[in-house]
Amino acid sequence: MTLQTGTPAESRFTGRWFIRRDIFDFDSQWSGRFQGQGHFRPISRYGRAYAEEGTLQFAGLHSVKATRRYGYEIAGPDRVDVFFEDGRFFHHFDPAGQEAWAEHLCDADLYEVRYLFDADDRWRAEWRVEGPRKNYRMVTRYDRDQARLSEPLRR
Amino acid sequence: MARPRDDGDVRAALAGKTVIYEFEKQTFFASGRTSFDAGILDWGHWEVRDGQYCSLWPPSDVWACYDVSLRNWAGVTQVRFTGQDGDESLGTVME
Repeated sequence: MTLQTGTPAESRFTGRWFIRRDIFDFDSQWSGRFQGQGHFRPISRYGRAYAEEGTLQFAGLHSVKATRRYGYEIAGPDRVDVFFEDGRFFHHFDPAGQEAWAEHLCDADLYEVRYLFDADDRWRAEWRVEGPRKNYRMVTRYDRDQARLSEPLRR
Repeated sequence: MARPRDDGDVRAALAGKTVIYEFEKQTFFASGRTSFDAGILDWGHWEVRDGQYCSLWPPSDVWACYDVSLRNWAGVTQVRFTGQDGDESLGTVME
């Protein structure tokens, strides 16, 4: 019998991650930073409910609490689909390599992302958003919460 | 939650199934292997003894056994593992 092992994408998009997100708005010249935690909760073998929460601070302003939620579907070893919280399709990318590109058009604003999968416990997403209403760059770094791994949760 | 009646019931409840915990998932292969995925994949062994689910996770050579109880609600099957110290974990069973 051949054992069905999880794909690298199944493992990567599981569990808890520390997040640091740097944002730079080219029009206003404002910079901001989000710091928090995100977790991928399995809702099926290939489905994940992603949620993150933390604090967002723009230079010179008070920090505010911020949250995000997305749905991830591991459609195959070389395809991950990302959905907005309301179920609308966002984008898809290939998680099999060390680098992946994707884009999403929202009205006239173009969202382009470059994913970099540096290591099993580290990855990042570099977004460039450009259009009539938006003009910013956003880099998110994900580092796995190693403490969670050491907890004896398995049965 | 209802406790399975005998070894065969426990085995039937878990063999070939994947259990989704809060952030992790564990698959119970009919061969007696089990995998636990919390972002990093661990491999262990499982079997049923005296109506209890037992598992071994190398490099440890100590088997740990748990009472198993099941509940089916609105088409969703939940499983609860209860250890000797009363420690519990609750998961959802996927086919």
